[in-house]
Amino acid sequence: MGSNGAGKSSTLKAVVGLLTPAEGSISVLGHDPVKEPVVTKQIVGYVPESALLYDALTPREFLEFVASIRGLDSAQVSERARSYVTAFQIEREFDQPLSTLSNGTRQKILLIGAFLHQPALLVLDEPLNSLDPRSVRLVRELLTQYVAQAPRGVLFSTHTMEVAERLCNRVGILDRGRLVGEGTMDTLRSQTAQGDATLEEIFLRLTREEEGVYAAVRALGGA
Amino acid sequence: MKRRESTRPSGPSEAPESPSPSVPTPSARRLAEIAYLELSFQAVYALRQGNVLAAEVPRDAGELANTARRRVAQSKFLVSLLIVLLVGGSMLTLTNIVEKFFLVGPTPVPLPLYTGTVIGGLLLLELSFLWMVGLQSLPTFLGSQILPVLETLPIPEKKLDRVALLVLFRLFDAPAVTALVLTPVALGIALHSVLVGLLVVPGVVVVIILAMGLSLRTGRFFVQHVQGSRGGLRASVLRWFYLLLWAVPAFGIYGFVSFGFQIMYGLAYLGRTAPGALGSLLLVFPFPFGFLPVLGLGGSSSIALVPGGDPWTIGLAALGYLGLAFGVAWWMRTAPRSLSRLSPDVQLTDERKGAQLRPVSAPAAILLKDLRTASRTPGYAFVILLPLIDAVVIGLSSYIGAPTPKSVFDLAAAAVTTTAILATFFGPAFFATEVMGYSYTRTLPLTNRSMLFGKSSLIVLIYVVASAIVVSLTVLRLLNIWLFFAFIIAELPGLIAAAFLEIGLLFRQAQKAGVPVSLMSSGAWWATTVVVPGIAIAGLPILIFGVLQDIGVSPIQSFLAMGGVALAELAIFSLFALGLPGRGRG
Repeated sequence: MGSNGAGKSSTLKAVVGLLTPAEGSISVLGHDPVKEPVVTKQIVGYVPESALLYDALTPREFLEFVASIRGLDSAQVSERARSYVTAFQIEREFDQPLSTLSNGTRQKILLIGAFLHQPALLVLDEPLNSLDPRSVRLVRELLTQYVAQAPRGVLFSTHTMEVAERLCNRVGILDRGRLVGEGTMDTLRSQTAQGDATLEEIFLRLTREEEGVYAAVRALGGA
Repeated sequence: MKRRESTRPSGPSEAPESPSPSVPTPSARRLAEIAYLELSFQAVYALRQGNVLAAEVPRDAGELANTARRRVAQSKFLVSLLIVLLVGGSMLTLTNIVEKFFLVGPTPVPLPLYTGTVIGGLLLLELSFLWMVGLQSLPTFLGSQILPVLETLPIPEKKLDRVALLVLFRLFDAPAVTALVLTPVALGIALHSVLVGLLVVPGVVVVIILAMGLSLRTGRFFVQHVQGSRGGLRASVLRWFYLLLWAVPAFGIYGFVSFGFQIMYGLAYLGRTAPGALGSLLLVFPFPFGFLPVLGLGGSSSIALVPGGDPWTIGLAALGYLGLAFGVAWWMRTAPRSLSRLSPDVQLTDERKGAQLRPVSAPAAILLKDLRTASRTPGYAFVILLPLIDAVVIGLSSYIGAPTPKSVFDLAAAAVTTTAILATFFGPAFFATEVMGYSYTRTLPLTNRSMLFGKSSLIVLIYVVASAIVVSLTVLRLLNIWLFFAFIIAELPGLIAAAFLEIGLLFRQAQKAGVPVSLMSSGAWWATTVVVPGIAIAGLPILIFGVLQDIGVSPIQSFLAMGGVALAELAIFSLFALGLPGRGRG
């Protein structure tokens, strides 16, 4: 979690090998995304912040491309695709060019693309953006089930405190590129010395934004 | 929570706060400049298409903007250079030396008919070329999404229309201005007449307006009927058929360049046998503008030398086309903006085909993706269709002509040469498809080698299909197809070597610069740079064959030498290509 521009998306991009870190190193299940990009990308499924895809392709063509690059088996991948397409209710749009689909539908395609090879690590940048309430619930349940089924991990960024509080085992809070808090809810509460604090209160305390919010509201009220 | 209460009264009766209409907004020209800079920026860096700036790219906004400006200007310069070549070629054709050659050719061609046809031909070539430039640039215009952003601002409708038109014109400006200035000057010099130069101007103006209009009209058709077309074999076939219709400007260029002599002699023959028919034909665009300058050479008496030619009718036809251009210009006041707001005809059906996926190998997936992308993107479809059209033209010329055994030999060499050169010339343009969804693809475990094989296989595919077209048309004339086969097979390793070199160079450049290369609107410089050595590599085996033939070496030995050189090239450039830095995409 973090304010706008705190470095959430940049961090996730570095994890999936889109950006090279200026300093330090990253290890994804023992692999360095810079030195072993292909191996790392094999074990990661990624959903970017914006649903930017090959607009001229249909979802079927796009997923075929993803499955081909990942070297997946036809029968297995088709079965998985069928389950996800049905779950997300996008059968009608499955042969429609991506350029003509809504942002929400494109987001669903990206999520299916990330789940397709059942990776050890899912990296999701604001995965619930543009999704309708039914799909938000569906993704939340899918993620819970996904992590529970096998030793798999999900690393995702979100602005929705409620989602983070309900879903995450551990929460990291970024402030201007620095990790100012990280751990379970209990760890974070003890870090801020607030026994019954909500994640929102912890976030504002750690990012020293609490007073800033009220000051801004006061200033706007007088405008 | 009380802090959030508004101090203002609220309710449905309250009008929303909005700027007064009298608030001045920047001039249309200023807004267009800003919008064009954004368009250039997106064309070069493609951030809106998902690209990520490489670490080496400077982060200073001013520097980024200047780089974008410079790269787009470089591309425009190259495109304008082609106009210079077209005009220069016509200028040469109108000089005395070539003139005499034509006048004493197999069919005598009257000088005014000759001059008017050459000028008309040049105008047709310019129209086709500018139309093609428009079709290539429209995806950049629409994809940059600059106009929808301006639509949300309180800018008067008329001003928005003007901004859209000005931005669209910026895509054409360099080649259009080059044509407008250079054509009259060059023709005036070639024909030693200022008046001729002046009389060419209306024709060029009409050509520019019609080219812009045709680009918009065909672009509109693309957005409505192709962009939203569903997947599946039947829809794909239909899309490629539509795209073939858009190859009309390409046919215009190839047809006139390839059959220029035949057209000239055909017109002269028609003038002798049916002057009335020729007179009517000369009223078809752009001939009236081709013959208008002829008046500058010797007044109405010169036109009278053209069988069926009448100065009044030609003048009236030219006036009619000027009127048409005026109408198109009037329509274009609002057309660019309405195009940017157009959405594709979505064909939602209840037909459900299931979610069966058919994965293929990684290089085949790259190839398939590029073909599917091209089938919904006219700019890329052209890249594939142009070499194929060229193959049809070459094949037809073998079918129409009466080839001798010697000319069959020349024809085979010419067919393979042009097919190989065109495949290596246009193939690299496909590297630009990596712009779309660029960052997402970079998160996939795609090896450099898979990418290289996938992109190179497209160049090879274009070559093989174009060669198959030539062979098929040659079979119809019962020519020696084995000769064609021998050429095609002997050249193939050289072509693969050229593809490896081109894609390998582009790959290194893309990784270094971190930007999409080879887009016509922004990366033409890189694409052209890699094409030069590519063409040299593809052309070398054929050149060796030609030299050996000239010094009297037997055809079989020449073929073996050609194949040997091609194989050696493949070995060398495979090492270069397979030695790409890193095992994955950075």
